[in-house]
Amino acid sequence: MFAGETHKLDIVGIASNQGVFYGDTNRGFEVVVPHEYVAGTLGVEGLYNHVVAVKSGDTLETSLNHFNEANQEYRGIPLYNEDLVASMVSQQVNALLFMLVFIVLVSGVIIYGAFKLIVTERRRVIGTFLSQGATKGTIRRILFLESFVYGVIGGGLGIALGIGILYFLNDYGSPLRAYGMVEPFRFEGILILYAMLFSIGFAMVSALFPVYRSARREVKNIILDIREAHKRKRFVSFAVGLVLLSGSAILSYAYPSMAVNLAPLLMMAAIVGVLMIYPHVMNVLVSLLFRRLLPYLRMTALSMQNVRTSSALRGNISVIVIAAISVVTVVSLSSSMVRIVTDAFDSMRFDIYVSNIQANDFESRSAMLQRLRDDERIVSKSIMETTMEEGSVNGEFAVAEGIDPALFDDFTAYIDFINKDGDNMLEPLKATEERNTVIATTTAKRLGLDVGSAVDLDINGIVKTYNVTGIVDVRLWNTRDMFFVNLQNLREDHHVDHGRIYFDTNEDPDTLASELQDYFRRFGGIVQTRDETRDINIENNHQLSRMLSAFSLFAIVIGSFGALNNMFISYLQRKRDFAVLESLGTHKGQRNRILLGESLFCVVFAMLVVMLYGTFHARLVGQVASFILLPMDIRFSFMEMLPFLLASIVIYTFATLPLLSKTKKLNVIEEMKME
Amino acid sequence: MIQKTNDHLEHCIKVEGLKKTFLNGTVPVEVLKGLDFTIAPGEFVSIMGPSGSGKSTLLYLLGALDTSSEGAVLLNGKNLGSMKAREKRVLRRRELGFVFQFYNLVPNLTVEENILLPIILDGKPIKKYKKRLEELLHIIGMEDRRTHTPKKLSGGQQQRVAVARALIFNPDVLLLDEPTGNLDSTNSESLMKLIVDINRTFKTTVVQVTHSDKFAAWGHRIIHLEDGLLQKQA
Ligand SMILES: Nc1ncnc2c1ncn2[C@@H]1O[C@H](COP(=O)(O)OP(=O)(O)OP(=O)(O)O)[C@@H](O)[C@H]1O
Ligand SMILES: [Mg+2]
Repeated sequence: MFAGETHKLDIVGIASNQGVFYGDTNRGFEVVVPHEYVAGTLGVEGLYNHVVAVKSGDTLETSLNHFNEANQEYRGIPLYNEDLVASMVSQQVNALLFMLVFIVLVSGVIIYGAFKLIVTERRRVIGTFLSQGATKGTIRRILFLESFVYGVIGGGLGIALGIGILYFLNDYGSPLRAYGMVEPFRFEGILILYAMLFSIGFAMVSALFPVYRSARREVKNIILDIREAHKRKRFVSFAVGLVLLSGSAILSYAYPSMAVNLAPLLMMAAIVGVLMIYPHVMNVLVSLLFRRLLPYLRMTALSMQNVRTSSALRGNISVIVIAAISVVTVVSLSSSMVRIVTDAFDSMRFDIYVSNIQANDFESRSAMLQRLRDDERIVSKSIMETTMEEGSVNGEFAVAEGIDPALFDDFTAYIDFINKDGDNMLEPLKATEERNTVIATTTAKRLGLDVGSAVDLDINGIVKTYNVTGIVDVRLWNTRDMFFVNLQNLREDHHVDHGRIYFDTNEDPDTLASELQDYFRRFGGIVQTRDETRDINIENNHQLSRMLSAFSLFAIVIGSFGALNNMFISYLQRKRDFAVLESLGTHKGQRNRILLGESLFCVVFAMLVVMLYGTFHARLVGQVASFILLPMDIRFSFMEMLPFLLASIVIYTFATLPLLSKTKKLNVIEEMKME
Repeated sequence: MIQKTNDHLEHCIKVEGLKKTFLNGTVPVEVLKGLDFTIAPGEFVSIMGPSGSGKSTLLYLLGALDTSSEGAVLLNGKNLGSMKAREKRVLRRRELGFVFQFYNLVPNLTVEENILLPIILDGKPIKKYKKRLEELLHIIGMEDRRTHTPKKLSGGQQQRVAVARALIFNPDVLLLDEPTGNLDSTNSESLMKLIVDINRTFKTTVVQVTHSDKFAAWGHRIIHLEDGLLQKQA
């Protein structure tokens, strides 16, 4: 139905929920018809609301200026604001990059461990080379070349697999796949190059430490694999770890505003600090516990002692700690987002709103408002209009939010408009002829404005000077960057005619919304309830957190491969110890108990570490979020984390099961024969 | 030399027609070709023979670490061949002590813990063996090293700890495969003195494999093995 008449249309195509169709809901949706058809029906041939064109000049700006100078009756504006789009996308991109850090860390620890193994296994060859006069440089070059080759091979395989997975996701993940609509698969070739360079660089950097160390030891010690005892060095690593962790904590708690700007660094420092400290804590803890536990929990005590003394198993803990930290990050982030959205909507006093209204002429709008006022189920003094319009201030992008200063404060308890002196900042906005504006903190910072500044606001091509009478922390309101002005000013001074209508009801909002939808349909309006909108918002946030969860799942899966790998390495390194135990009459059950005990102790200890660090980490996540994403207060909840922790324990314990089946055959005689 | 020829006399170890065949790929290689001998309780026997003659193979069979292809090994009258794996493990823990040439100790456990390891694995209360532990630490002369880890010990000290561990349950039989093979002469001598001592004090039956004529002679009797068969000798 449009222009008051019902039209019968044939559906010739279905589009995905994007672009023009982005705002479609179950109650209202867009259809696209030929312009001639509408113009013919309405008798407005040759008339247009909008004309879309492509720039002909060098830049969009010059083209627009050129057009606007030549046309007095029409005004050209950019179709969309690139800054806004970029800032919206960058939030998602940043969130993903943030998670990538964890995956990189997990993989780094694994590659580091693998190279350590390579170097340990080859110590005799390396020692022989050195004793024959090869220089340390030669050895390092050979090993580096190797890590380069691993990077190339691993990168190649990873890229192939990655493209495959993307292709699959694109195909199966398309929401309209059932209608035969699949987004064309797009992939930028240059990414392959980046990924390759990253993979090579990453492999070489991760190998750096073990390779560098490989040739530094005494030749004799390399051959015999004697580790020089480094009491002093151990203390140094503990001290450095402590400095990193406590330094990061001090900055974060004592200088919060500075900490936000350094947040990613602080988080890195804290994680590295934790990774450096925990082996020492474990050392002390196990040393204390071992003798006490031995008489009672024999195999468990042996497992703990093994974890304490095996560097491969310690590597295991590091991997699990990082993966678990990524889980803590995601869980606390998403639960905070849901909490924030819920809180925000709960603090807004409206039941229903109408958006997307297309018929914006004065009569139509008056009719709509009248219709609402006449409805006794609607609280008439709650009816409030708002509108948003993009514009500029001295060429900088700006958004004006037109509000009703008498109602808006009451409408959103989410924003606190009371200033330091206890006055309501919206009060001065009532005097429309003064053109006052209250601006968001973000806006004030970005444009360098303060209370008392005069600002030339260009909205709809009409420039008016406004006085900044207040600066308000809007928290996560809309784009967090706006000028609140009186709706009347936007309507009368800038000819902004569109807007939303909010109101309260005494009845069930759902029933009323459905009924009102029938009325507003003729104006193109979409009626939604507050609860619906809240759920949609939560769902949108869930999408982001699902994406992040996928990443942390990724970290856990990679981590569990790493864990199995480490368990295997450490078993191979200790095969003879197990042979000794076997000769003393252990049975398979005992050996399995020791191995399982090791992996269980690793994961439980790692969880303990994460629990202790969790509260501080959540704070850092909040500060990183303020830095790259959104300012929010993130809390660490043990209860929320519990299922994930239990799941991690199960996953990592299961990851070690393949080891048990592979270690079944242990030949004591074989092991003891060779030297 | 004590010769126990009377069959009705109690024997500790009895070997009957013992054969061991390995598969070298698909080719069977007979390493022990039918051995018969007995060892009396409290006897100290040395096994000698050229490299590859099957000494270690024999000792592993006596130590219930391997199973024979034919024939039987009887320990205190019990046939190892008819024992279940579980029974053999209990036997290894409680009635047999085994010392290898290399690498006997678990590196991340202290001297004390290494000696107590059979008890730990067996599940017996550790407290009950405190006195035995002290006794053994005293015999091997390492009371002041009890909390050291193997890394900090010399090869000789490590072997002494290995002997002490083999004795924690006061087993009937102590089996040693070239225990001094890795040690210098001083350390070798003190280890051998320790073993002779143990044989005397605890009446433990001792079977050692050795390449040293001198130390072989410290026992009561020498069994010569050549090409998988016993050499009749003086
Ligand atoms: N698992 C096995 N598979 C195949 N052949 C084996 C195996 N174990 C031992 N052998 C062979 O059995 C023979 C005897 O080996 P054994 O280790 O018993 O000799 P040994 O007398 O102890 O020698 P050494 O004095 O050098 O220690 C050797 O020829 C060896 O190659
Ligand atoms: Mg041998």
